[in-house]
Amino acid sequence: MVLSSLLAASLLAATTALGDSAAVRGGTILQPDGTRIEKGIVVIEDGKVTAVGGPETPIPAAATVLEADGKVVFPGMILAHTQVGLDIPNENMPIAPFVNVYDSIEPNSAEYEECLRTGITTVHAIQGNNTVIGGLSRIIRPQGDMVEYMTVRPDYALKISITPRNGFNRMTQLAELRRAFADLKAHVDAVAERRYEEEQKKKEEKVLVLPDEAAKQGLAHVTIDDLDARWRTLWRASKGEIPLFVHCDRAMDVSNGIAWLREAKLLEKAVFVVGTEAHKAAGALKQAGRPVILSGALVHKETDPLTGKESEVFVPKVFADAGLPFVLQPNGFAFNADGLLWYQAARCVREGVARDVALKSVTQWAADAIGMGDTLGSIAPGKWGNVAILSGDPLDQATVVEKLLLEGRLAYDRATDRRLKELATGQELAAPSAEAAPTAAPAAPAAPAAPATEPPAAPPAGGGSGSGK
Amino acid sequence: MILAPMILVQSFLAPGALALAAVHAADSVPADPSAQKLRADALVLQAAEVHVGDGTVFKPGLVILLDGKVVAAGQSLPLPAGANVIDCGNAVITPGLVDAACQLGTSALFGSAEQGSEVIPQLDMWDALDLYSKDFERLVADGVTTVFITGEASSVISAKGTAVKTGGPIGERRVAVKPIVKATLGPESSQRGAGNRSPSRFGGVNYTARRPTTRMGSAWVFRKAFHDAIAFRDAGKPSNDGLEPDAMRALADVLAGKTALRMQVREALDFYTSVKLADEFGLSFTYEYATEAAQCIDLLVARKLPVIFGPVRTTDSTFEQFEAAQPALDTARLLAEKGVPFCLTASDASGEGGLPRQAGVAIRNGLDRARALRAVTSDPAAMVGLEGRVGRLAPGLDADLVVWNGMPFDDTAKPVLVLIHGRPVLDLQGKFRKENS
Repeated sequence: MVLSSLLAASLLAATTALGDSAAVRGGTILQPDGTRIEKGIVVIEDGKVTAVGGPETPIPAAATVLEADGKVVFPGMILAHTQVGLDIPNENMPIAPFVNVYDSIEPNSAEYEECLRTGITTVHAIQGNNTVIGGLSRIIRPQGDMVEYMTVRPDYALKISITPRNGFNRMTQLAELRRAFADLKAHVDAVAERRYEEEQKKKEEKVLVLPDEAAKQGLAHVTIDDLDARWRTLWRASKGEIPLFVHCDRAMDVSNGIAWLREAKLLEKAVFVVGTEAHKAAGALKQAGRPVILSGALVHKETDPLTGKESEVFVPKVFADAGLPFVLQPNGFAFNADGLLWYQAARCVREGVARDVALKSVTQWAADAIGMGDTLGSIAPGKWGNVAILSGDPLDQATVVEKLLLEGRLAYDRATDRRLKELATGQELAAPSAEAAPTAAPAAPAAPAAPATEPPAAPPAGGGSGSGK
Repeated sequence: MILAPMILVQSFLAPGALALAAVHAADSVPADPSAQKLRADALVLQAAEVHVGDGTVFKPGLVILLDGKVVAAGQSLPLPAGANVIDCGNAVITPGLVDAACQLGTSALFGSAEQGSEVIPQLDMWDALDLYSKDFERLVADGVTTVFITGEASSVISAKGTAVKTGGPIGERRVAVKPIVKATLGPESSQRGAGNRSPSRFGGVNYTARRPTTRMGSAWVFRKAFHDAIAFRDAGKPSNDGLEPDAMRALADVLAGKTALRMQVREALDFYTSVKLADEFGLSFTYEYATEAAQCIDLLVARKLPVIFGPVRTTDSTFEQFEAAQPALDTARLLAEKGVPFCLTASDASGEGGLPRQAGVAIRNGLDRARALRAVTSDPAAMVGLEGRVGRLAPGLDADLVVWNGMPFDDTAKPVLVLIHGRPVLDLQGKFRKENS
């Protein structure tokens, strides 16, 4: 475990700390809160932003300078909850906290390339909503040929759905959820009782208490390795060590979800992933005080069951008016405007949401929702150098990503985007050459010293090799 | 008078939203002589920009409306004493948008899919139209004021289309147009409406439910129908395929050029089939949909075939399954560059896939802004022969206009006021005005 953690750390370092530095010069630096620096300079060293300022900001002599005159420099955007790039994102078993999205991530997926093309630098890959308790998620950068190199945070969160999965009703859904935690407790109790007995044996003392008491006293001796692998993740989750992304499609699921989270004393770990109808529970969500991620469809359409009157509600406006931060997702994932995360933000502005709210909902608040608000979400000293150089304002429909820096390195350059031409014009292209590839050598995460044929060094077990330990 | 609550539109506007590339400010459109004796009940709208719809822009601009018609648009115009002047501040005024190939507003999704025959040019889409449909409110919210409801693609040769205003009193909605029928090539006329056609409820379309089951079949039905129509016209010979005399008379009108023809095609090979079929009968036609137009650009240029292009799907659509290919995103730019006459359509989409978004996506992919406006106003109006009635803010044309709270087709802008015949159908509070519907 220690070795694998070290190796994981070194791989992370390999993708970022090239020992070089970069500077973006001359563009308008636009922050999510709406503040601007004209002809600004961003300096990124060892993957992190070290300076943000006006034209007078000193640029280290060794820095590679990217000119951004007339461009807009904007933080890399974040998909805080997505199945982008996952192969079969839903597990068939309703209770499956032991599976890991690691195994579903397809590094070569064209969707990750599309992320870079559309200004997305961080992706929280998490299983779909068709579950009761899903597997562990992973925060990744959308570039790299192995999941290890892509990983930002392994084994990050669990998906829990309050909305019934296929074939379940709401009662069975909640009953299954509670039963899973009850089964977990039974398993942990049995292990704890055995551990109590083992400890007594070690001390050459007799087992003097009833099983319940033995389980209680033995609990302190239980380590995660004592547990059946199937229960390890859920045990950590039950102790509040793992964020829970709680899917609540409808308003009634929000209230059920909050009630269950309070009961399980896990509300503080929850991030709500809500459907459009859940806007009716904006008050309850605000009171819960936890991040809210909206679905890609932003308009709630409804036919009144009594009057037959059709109505449409623009959901983000409801949350904005309630003063509740929210996070946007693209609608589907396509190269047309609807698949653009910033288009969703533009829609918000069109429907009367304040511009800074819309910008935060694709950057800072998304970073907050994945627990990386101090690391991502804006361009500030100490944060990671994830910076997009845009051709114009992010909410302008004609804007494109010209260059994208991923932790200070050029991860995407529109000028060398081979596939773009085909997407945009339908023209077939000549066979790709290594030089022409958009994610060619300098852009791809640096290859590890070890040959690529070696198996991944850090297979994520249920207990996790990463942040939680 | 009509716009009783005179609310300043500025309050809807984000500051700086209207920063524009230089646009040539033209002189006023020659004012109608009647402007000299304007009545005081004329309505005058004043805005930062008035786009006439033919490429002319007035910055700032005025539009004078009277009795449901445009009297004049220009930079500075003589105003009648006591006229009701509405200052729209930083807003932008355009003509109401026109969709030349709309597929909304019929009473149900397949309400116009006729099962009786593949060839129904004697029928009229007007009879399938539900003017009370919520679709029209959605179109108004998009700034679309005139639509040509085109025939259903589930017939090889479908019904005559019909043109309507999207708002205003029901009795005034219909707009007279020259008859246009649409033929549909490719797999659609055999696949679409599979769920609608008993007895094939247990599977796809088969010969018991529908005759053409292949591209060849669709082409055959088209060809046979015109052969039958010629034999009927020239020798009074009845159709041995059961085509009604009225259907054959309607096809004879197509042959005679009295009825215009459209061909709905999506995939490149169908472009060529359509040309071949048209040549057999000496027909001229306009393309509808034309998904893979970019691949057939040489054909379009050589044959000077006009194109009603779109939609580029931006959201899931019921009809998406029939999209064999996504259109190249820069198709509109390519058509413009190559000089192919074209306009844009949103077909069955509104809102996020609606006509302003079609223009927006085209702009994003390189189409000039002014050309994009034309492609959803005066060009589609001309495609359906309504250039003298809608699509421009020119003297004598219908007073159908849209006030936008920013640059039209920007993702952050939307219509805040829509007038049809000079009456608000979408008012400044974003409400649909029922009294005008």
